[in-house]
Amino acid sequence: MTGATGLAGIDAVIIGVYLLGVLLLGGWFGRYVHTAGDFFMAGRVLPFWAVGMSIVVSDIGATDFIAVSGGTYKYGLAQANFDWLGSMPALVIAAFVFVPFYWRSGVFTIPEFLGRRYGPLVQTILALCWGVILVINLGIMIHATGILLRGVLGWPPAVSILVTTVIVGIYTIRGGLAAVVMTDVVQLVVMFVGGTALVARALWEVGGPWAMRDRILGLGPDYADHFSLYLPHDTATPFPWTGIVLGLGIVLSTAYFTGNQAVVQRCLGARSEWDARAGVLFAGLLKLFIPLLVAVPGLAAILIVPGLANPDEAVPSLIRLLLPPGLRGLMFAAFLAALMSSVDSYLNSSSTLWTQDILGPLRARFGRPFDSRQQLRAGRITSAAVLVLAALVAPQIEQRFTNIYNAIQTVFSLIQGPTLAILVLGVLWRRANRHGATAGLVSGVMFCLLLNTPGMKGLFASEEPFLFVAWWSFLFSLAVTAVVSLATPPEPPDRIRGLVWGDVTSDPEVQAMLRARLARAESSESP
Amino acid sequence: MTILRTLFDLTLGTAERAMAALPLSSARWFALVLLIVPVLLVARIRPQTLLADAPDAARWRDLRWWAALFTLPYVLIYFWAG
Repeated sequence: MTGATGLAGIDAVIIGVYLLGVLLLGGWFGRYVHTAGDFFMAGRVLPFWAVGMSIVVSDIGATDFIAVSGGTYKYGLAQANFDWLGSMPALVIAAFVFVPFYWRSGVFTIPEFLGRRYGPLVQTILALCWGVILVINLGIMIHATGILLRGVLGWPPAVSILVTTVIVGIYTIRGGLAAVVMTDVVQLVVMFVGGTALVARALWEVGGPWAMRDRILGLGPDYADHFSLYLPHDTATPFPWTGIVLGLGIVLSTAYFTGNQAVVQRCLGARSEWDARAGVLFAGLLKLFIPLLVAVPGLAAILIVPGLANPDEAVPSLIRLLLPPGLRGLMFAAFLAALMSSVDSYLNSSSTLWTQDILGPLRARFGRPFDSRQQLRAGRITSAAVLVLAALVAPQIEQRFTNIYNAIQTVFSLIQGPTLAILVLGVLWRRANRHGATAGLVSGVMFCLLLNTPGMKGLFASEEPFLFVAWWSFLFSLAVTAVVSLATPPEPPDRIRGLVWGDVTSDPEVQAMLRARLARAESSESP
Repeated sequence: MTILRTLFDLTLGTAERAMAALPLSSARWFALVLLIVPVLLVARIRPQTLLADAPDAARWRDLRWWAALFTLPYVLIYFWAG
C-alpha cells in the first residue's frame, strides 16, 4: 500500500534499514577517534579502493542525480563531459604530480601546503575563500535534498533538510573522516544498485537505448545535438566545446582533483603514498560509469515526462512514475546515499579547513595553540556550525540559479582558476614566491568576481560562462603570479626545500627529510 | 566599469572570436590530446619512484599501467562517440 508520502511500506522499511545501517556504521567508527589525526585523516589507514570509492561518491552527490540528469534533459549528453573529460586527465595528473607532494609534506589541507610554500598570508586568504565556498556548496547540496524530497515525497523542504542533516551530522561529527569514507563505500554500492534499477526501468519504458536515441533526435532541431559530446563555440548552452576543453578539461577539473579539500583529504588519509595514488586512479575508472547512471535517466525523461519547466524535476518525476514499491525505496535510499556522502565529505573537509587553517593559526597568534584534544573538539564544533550555516544558505540557491549544477560550477569557478595557478607555479617553478602568489590569488578572485558582474554580461557567448571565467582567471593569475614573483626577491632555498618538483622526485636528501617529517607528523598525532 | 568592459572586449573578445573560428571537428583532437598527453608524460616516471612505499613490487602495482588502462575507454569514447 502506498501512503500519503508516495512511498509504500516496503519502501519505508528499505529506507529505514539503510539509514539505521549508515548511522550505526558511522557511529561505530567514532570509537576509534581519539586524536585530531584520527578525526581529520582517519588515522592514515585507508586502502586504495576506499579512497577511490570515497572520492567518486563525494563528487557525485544527490546534486548529480538531480542536476546532471536535469542538465542532460535540457542540454543533452554534453553534460557527461563533466564526468569523463572533466575527470580522467585531471586524476592522472593528481595521482602522479600533486598527491606525492601533499602526502610527503604531512599536511592536513591544501591551504596548509600552500602556507608552507608561500607563507601564512596565502594560507589564510585561501582558507577563508575555500571556507566560504565549501559552506555555499554544502548549502547547494542541501537545497538539492529539498528538491528531491519535494518531488518524490511531497515533503516540505525544511523537514527534509532537518532529517538528513541531523543524521549526517551525528555520524560525521562523531566518527570523522574514517566514518565518512567507510559510509561512502556502502553508499556507493547502494547508489550503483539503485541507479541501475532506474536506468533499466527507464530504458525499458522508452524501448531501449537505440530507440531512445532515434526518438529524441526525431523530436526536431532543438534536440539535434543531444547525443553529441562536442557543442559549437556559439551554442546557447553553457557547454561549448572550447569551454569544455579549456575551462573544464584544463582548469576546473585539474583544480578540483588537485586542490579541492574534500578530494585531497581522502588521499591524505590513505595508508601509504601508493594507496593514495592508486585510489585516485581507481576513482578515474569508477567515474567512467557515472554518466550512465545519471545522464541516461535525464535523456529518457525527455520522452517520458516532456516539457518540464524545471529540468531538475526530471529524475524525481521518473521515480514517481516508473518505479514500483520496493525499487522506489531502493532508489530513494540511493538518493539519500548520494546526498549524505557528499554532505558528510564536504562537512568534514570544511571543518578541517576552518580548524586547521583559520582557528588554529588564530589561536596560535594569541599564544594559545590547540593541543590535539582541543583540536578534535574544535573540529566537531565547527562541523556543527558549518552544517547550520549551510542549511541557512540553502533556500537562497533556487532564486539565483537556473540549474543546480551550474550553481555549483559557478561558485567553484570563482576560486578554482586562481588556486590552480598558484598551486602549479608553486610546485613546478622554484622562482614563484609569496608576493607573487598573494597578488595572483587576490587579483585572480577579484577578476572572477568582475567577470560575473552584470556589466560583463554578453562578453562571452554562453549565458552562464563559468567555463571561460575559470580559464581566463587561471591565465590571469598565472601571469600576475609570474610577473610579481620575478619583480620581487626569490624565496630562500632552504625555506622551499622539499616543496618543489625537482627536490621531491630526484634529491635523496630531500626525500629522507620528507620521510622524517611525515614520521614526526604521524607520531605527534598519536594519543 | 566602462573602461574595463572595453578592455575586456578588446582582449577576451578577440580571443573569443579566435576560438569561434576553430572548426567543431577540431574538438575531437583537442579532447584526445588532453586525455593522452598526461598518460604519455607519466610513462616517463621511473617505476622505482612509484613503487617506493608499495607493499611489494608486483607488476600490477605499477601505476603507469593503471593510468593507461583506465584512460583507454575514455579515448575510445571521445574518438568514436564524440
